[in-house]
Amino acid sequence: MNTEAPLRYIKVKKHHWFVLLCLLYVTTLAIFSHNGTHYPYGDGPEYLMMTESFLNHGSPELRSEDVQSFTNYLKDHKLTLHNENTFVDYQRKFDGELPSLKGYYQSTTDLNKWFSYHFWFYSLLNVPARYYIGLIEGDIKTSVLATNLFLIFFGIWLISQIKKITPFDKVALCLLLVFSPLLWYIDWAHAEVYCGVLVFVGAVFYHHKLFYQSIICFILASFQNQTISLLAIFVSIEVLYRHKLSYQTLIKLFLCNIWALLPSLFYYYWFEVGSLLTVDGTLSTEGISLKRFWHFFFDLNQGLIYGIPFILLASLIFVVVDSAKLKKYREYSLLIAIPFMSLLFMQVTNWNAGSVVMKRYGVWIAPLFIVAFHYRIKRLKPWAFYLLSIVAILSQPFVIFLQHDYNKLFWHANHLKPIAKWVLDHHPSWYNPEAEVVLERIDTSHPASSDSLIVYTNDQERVTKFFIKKGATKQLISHGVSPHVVDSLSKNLNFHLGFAQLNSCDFKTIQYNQENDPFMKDIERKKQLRLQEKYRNIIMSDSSWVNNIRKQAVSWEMSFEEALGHNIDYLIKESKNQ
Amino acid sequence: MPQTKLSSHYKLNLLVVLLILYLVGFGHFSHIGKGYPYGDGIEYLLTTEAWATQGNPEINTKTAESFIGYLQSHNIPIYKKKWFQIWYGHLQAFEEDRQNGTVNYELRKAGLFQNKEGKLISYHFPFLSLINTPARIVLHHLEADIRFSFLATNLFLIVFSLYVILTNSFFKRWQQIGLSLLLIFSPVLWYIDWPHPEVYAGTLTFIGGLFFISKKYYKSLLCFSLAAMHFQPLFIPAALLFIPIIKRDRLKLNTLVKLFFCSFWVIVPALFYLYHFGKPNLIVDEGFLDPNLIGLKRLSSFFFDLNQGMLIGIPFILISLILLLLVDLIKRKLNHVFWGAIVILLMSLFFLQMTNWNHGNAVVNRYVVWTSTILIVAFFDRILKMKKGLGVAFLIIAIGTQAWVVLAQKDFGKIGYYVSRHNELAKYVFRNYPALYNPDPQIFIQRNNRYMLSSSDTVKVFTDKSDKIVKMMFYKNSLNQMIQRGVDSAKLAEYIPKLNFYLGYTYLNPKDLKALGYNQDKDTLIEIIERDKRDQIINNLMYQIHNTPEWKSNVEFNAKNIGISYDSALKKHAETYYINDIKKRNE
Repeated sequence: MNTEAPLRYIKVKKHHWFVLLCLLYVTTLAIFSHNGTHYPYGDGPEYLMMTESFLNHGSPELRSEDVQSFTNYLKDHKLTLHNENTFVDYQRKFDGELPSLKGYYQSTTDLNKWFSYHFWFYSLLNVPARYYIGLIEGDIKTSVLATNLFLIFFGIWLISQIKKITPFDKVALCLLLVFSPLLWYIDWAHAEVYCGVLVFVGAVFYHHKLFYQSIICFILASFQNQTISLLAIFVSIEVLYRHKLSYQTLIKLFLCNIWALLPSLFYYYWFEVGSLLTVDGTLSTEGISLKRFWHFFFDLNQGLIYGIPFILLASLIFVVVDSAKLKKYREYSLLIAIPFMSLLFMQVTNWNAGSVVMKRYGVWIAPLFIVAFHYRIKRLKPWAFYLLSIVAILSQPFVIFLQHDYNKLFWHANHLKPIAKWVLDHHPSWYNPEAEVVLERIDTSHPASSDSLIVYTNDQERVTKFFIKKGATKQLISHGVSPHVVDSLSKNLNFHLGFAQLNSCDFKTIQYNQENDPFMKDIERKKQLRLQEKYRNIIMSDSSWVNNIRKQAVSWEMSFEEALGHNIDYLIKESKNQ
Repeated sequence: MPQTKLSSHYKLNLLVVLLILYLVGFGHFSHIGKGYPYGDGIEYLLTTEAWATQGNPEINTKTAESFIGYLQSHNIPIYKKKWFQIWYGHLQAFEEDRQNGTVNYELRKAGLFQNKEGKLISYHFPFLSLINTPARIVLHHLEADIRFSFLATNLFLIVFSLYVILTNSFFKRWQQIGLSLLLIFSPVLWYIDWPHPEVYAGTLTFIGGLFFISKKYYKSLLCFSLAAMHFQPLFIPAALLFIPIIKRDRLKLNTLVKLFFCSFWVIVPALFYLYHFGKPNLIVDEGFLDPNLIGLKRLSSFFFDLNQGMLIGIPFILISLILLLLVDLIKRKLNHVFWGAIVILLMSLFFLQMTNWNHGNAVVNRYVVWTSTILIVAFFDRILKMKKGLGVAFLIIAIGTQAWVVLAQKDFGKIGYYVSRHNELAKYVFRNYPALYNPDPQIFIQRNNRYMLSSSDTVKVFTDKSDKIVKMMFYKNSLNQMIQRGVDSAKLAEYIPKLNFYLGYTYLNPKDLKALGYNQDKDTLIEIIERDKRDQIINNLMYQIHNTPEWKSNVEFNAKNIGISYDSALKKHAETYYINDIKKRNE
């Protein structure tokens, strides 16, 4: 089909395009720099420190001078030092006050050296921006923003220079790249943008059969997330299949893929293991499950669906329909890698890690769907292609800017999404994610909760869900459930990663009645106390009201406190009647 | 005819190289630079602030607060802090009472004038500040040093000019490179860190000149017109360009429309001030110009003054041009050099009128920047007409001398008060051939070391390294001081008619001193002047120290340590400074 029609007359000269991109880069850098918080979310401190280390002594080894140069610079320039405690702790380690460093490990081959368990390549990439911003006395925290934006614009440049792509495709793909979930991480001192851009560009290269370029992109991305190397392996297999086992092909593949070993070699040299993540408890095969796989895409708090709703759903429909028709389209080739990749990233023990809107891994999984979707709809009739393409392009900025406020410090991983809250409030059985995803987002200090039995209540203080830790089922007895029921429940409950969930629809079966729950009386009492305190404050802050109550106390022949109590009780009753 | 083919690929590579050059240049100069608001920098900086924060060029207390507040909140040094404080005080007083005559007078002195709506606007046209606003906004958003916004803009203008030069297909590649180097190593570079329009005008006149010789007259006209927005004399080359354009394109509607769009910029400043103040130019109105100052003496000072003339900015090029011009005139060939010279002479009729002839500058007089670029282009055009080998030799020598001259005469890492001291060349000539250099009185008065033996308010003296008087400058009414210095009154009266006075001042060189029978050993006034001067300088220093908090606390600390009174310590400090300074008077 001819999709060149709408933009075929537009011929942009390379140098004009370059100037335009430079202007856009400076403008967006200024906008995000001004609006961003530059908070070192997640593993930001480690990445920032590695950048500082490279700048100071050309190696990723953390030294006292690195912490000092970073913190002193910010203090000297009266710039905000977010998350100061982390940096203070780094310094305290060097002062001998702390035994270890968060995110850093002592080399086993040289006990004087400490290295981060995150590979340093992204930090190295960030050094020029850090150096330059320091040179012009700017906020060095924005160096990652400058680097991330540069990566996005570099990705746009690469896509725009692929000769086989039509002008419309270039525009569409560039817009989809910009307005993909990686934009949420633009201000993060993290490798999400780096990986997202490389996977996106790699996928586009792959679709245009630029296999070696594609492999290089995936391998570079795998420096920061080893899982992505699977994509390189998939592409390499296709290369072998297409080009047969020639000497030349093998050499090229070897030269493109060999770099994937760089992180492993680095860690092997300093720690005698291929990856620190595999030995420090960050990964566990227990995490691999269909439930986790499903929730990676559709979790109501952090699923990929939040990042690319239209594209994900449309892609899945296409996949299902095309599979039913036994159509073998190349567009889906890289999607096949996702289940395999998930076998690796599902192993992560912290499934509710710091994130923006959706899980971090989604940032570099999303491009696979976006690119596949774009090339799949190209097979449709032109009107359908343009319609779906435009809907996708328009939906993405809406999705990106509606769900994240760049101006505010906000820990998405600690807040329930509105949809998730609504479902938990009204239909809790529809949503049974991994317990930590909800528990880390709700106030667990609920009066009726304990460490091993956590109660979820809705806004009306009605219990809608119990999270029960393995071995703690008997705690239900203290909530008024009969021991007999609890005994049978212990055998039937389905625990996942140490937690089972009981929803409001199960309460009848287990004969749980909130009115008979002694803890709930306590909740009511505390709620009553909170209301009393609230109205007391309202009255006491109004001097005319206080004087009026004084007069009432005199006429009612009681103390002021008693008269005040009557007034508060009256107000509470009135509020309930309303 | 285009001599160089330019592909999009070439332009792309060029842009990448220039971008890197820009980033390196900005990083380097902002790192070593001091961010000092030279000359009228404060006005330009505050006007930029006004554009960035209010969207108009009106200066008020909020503008000053925004600028100073940013610097303070980022721990950035504020130079001319006292100036800013005084300004701020005046602005506050103005906002309280807009009719206060004293305040209005003070603000006018600082370059701010009240328009018809009672708002304050600088008498420097705000266009440069407007184009500087993006740099100011970006630096602000990066939390960087906003004092360097003009550095960013100036560097951008230079890099943009390099792009224009290197993509001008009229020239061959080696010629483009040669021109680029000549621009980089021109007096323009000295003003790179100035919040001033010299770089703006210098680059525009340079590329305007190139467009002219490559016969792109409209582009040339546009460049000169834009430059004229900040330096009105540049309307002359713009006006003269009408001649070749009309000659070539005839008086057609199309030509007239193009001429209008390329040249109307010249009158924008006049319209702006007419709208705001009811008069087209505030500088003329304020008496900064005096037509009586136009003369050969000042013209020669503009070109050949050893302290700030064009000669020290483009020595080889200027001398070569003069010689080539003479040769061409003898041969009756009227080429671009001749026309360039005519243009500069015509423009000089305006800028020679400037009453302050020793205004703040970097190495050379500020007007040299955009006149020298015109001459550099004329020089280049002239050497293209030579035999190739000879032309290339001239070009190499010109680039070499320019690089040396530009880099040797300014240390970009230091704040340079060039107008308050003689440069090395001037001092050398004063010491060895004093009669050869008799500069404009303002230059001698303001640059001469105040510690020079027996210098006083009305008589300035230059001594060699052994304190021997080699040159004296007298105001016409002070010549009688020579009698007190031991010269016979009759001899003096007889000699005075032989002296040349310029702006009321005259120089006495060794030959004159000998003729007058002056003997320094018998000059009893020296001791008296020195004694009085010493007391006066020490008192001034004490006053300064006492009124400078950091300095004062240092003295207090020392007084406490040594165990003497504050007054004694203050005097000792001032005396120490005086002794140290006086030792350096002949350096």
